[in-house]
Amino acid sequence: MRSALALIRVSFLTAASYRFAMFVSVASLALQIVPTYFIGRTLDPFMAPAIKGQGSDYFGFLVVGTIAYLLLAASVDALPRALERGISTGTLELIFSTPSSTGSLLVGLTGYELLWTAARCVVVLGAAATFGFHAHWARFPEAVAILALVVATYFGIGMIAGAMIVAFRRTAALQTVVIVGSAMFGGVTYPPSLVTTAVSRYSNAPDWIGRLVEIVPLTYGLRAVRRLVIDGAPLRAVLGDVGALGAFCLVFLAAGSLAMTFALRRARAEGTLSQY
Amino acid sequence: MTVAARDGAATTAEPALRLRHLSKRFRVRRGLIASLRQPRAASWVHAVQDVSCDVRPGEFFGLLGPNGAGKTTLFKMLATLTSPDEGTATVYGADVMRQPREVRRMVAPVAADERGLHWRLSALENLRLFATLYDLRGAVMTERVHEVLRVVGLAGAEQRVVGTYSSGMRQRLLIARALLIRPRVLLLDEPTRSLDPVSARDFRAFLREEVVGPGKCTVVMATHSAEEALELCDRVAVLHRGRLLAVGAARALEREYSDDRYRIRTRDPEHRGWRALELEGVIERRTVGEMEADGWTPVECQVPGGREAAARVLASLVGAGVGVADFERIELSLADLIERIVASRALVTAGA
Repeated sequence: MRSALALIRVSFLTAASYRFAMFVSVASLALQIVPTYFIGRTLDPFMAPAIKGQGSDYFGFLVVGTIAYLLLAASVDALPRALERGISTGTLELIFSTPSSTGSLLVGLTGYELLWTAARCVVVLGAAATFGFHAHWARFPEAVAILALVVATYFGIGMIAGAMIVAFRRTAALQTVVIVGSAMFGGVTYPPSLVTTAVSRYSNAPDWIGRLVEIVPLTYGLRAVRRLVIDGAPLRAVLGDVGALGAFCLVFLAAGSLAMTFALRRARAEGTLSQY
Repeated sequence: MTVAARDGAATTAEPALRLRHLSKRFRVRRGLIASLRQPRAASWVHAVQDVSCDVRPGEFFGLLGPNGAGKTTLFKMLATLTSPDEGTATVYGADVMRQPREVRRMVAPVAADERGLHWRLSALENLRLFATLYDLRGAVMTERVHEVLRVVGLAGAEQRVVGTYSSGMRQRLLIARALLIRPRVLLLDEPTRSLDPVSARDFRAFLREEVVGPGKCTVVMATHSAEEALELCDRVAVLHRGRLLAVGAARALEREYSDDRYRIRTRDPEHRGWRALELEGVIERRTVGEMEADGWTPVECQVPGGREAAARVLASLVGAGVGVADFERIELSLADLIERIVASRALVTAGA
């Protein structure tokens, strides 16, 4: 744990040395809420029937979607990017030559990025609150726990991408596919039911495309969080979604750990831990 | 078997490093077309082949070899960063494959270049990070960090961002990082490669005085400079194309394979004094170079019999009236050393 904290601290100090980039990152997010507010308010009458059961307020729907999207993107991308950077700067090989456990090193390499994203989510939330985002704040601890489950699930996918970096130096756009796919089918800016309906009613596309929403973990996480935070539903009302998300989490974390173990073993066998 | 090779065997019960038949090969990457034509074909490069030797505790051990000799691969195996294909390697009894965490607590590798440091952070922050990764805590960590900064001569510069350091300072910081855990074995991979000659000299002195020795740590240094290895190390192993050609005391190797060749700058390369020395057998294999712009001509010759014989040659030349400006011993180059070891092995094989 101390190893992970030390790596997080170093990542923070490095990021803080780029002060302007840090400021722009926060300011742009805060400003992003302005168009989100106007789009949300303008489309609210049209979207209200579609988002029924996932929050009656489209602006709130978008705010929760934005926060979940930021978290999922960081969870998928943080580890492969940190490993890629560590390989090219040579720091990875050195930290792997210390007695710290692989797990704590991987958490340490990504911890800052995830914490920083969480801080940016708080900024988005604060900015949204000033624009009139009404949330059931009492449901927040439960919502945060579900978002943590979303992060853990996508971190598992990030571990698979990280393993591909360690083994092959490329991820074959896995992160892009996951992030874009989750955004499209997971309900970031429109409810997943809209995809299913659109596919079955208005296109000649096969039905299974509409069912893709069911294999996207974000679908379950977002639906649960929105119902808690926007509608004020009790936790027991979303237990089905939480259960599905938990199952995804277990599968992806196990697959990610396995992939990373094999990749590190392969890198050690081939002596490629520091080659780029 | 050479004197040097015999010297490779361990004399103590528990060597710092024990390598037995260590081998590592890597698959050679092929182009796309070649892979499509022959998908099952594979070619391999043998980075380390059947290397066996011991390194004693507190020893300054040199791993001498040209680029591609297998030095870095050997280091990576000892640092548990690359797994051997065959053979065993132990560090104070701990096996690099079976007990990697124990090995990592004892071995500190120092990379050949300045990569591995966080350039936008201070030296202090870099050292604090690695101290934590090595599980140092609280006051012990603070004390140790300042101690190693003092040892490597960076005290006073610890708050400076590493990006503003010179190459020499960064090299010292890498050593400081490695010394944090009081390693029992320090692996230095071409530590003077990016240093200018003055910094390299200072760095060698620093290694000798501060790092290595009885009660301090065992140092294994990879280098492709025969001069550096023979000057610094107690014993030297010569690696060539992954194979261990010879192991032995640095001085013994030098004596065995050096041919006592000297370079003399003279105004009289054709003076009869040279001929007289040749006839007496005092000098051999004399070659006269091109006259230089200042009118002096380099003459190279072998002077069997060591430094005493060289002193007599100089006295004879001066006594005979030969103008001599320089009289210097030509250092044994790595290429010469390897060539001679290979040649002597061929002779032994032919004799057998």
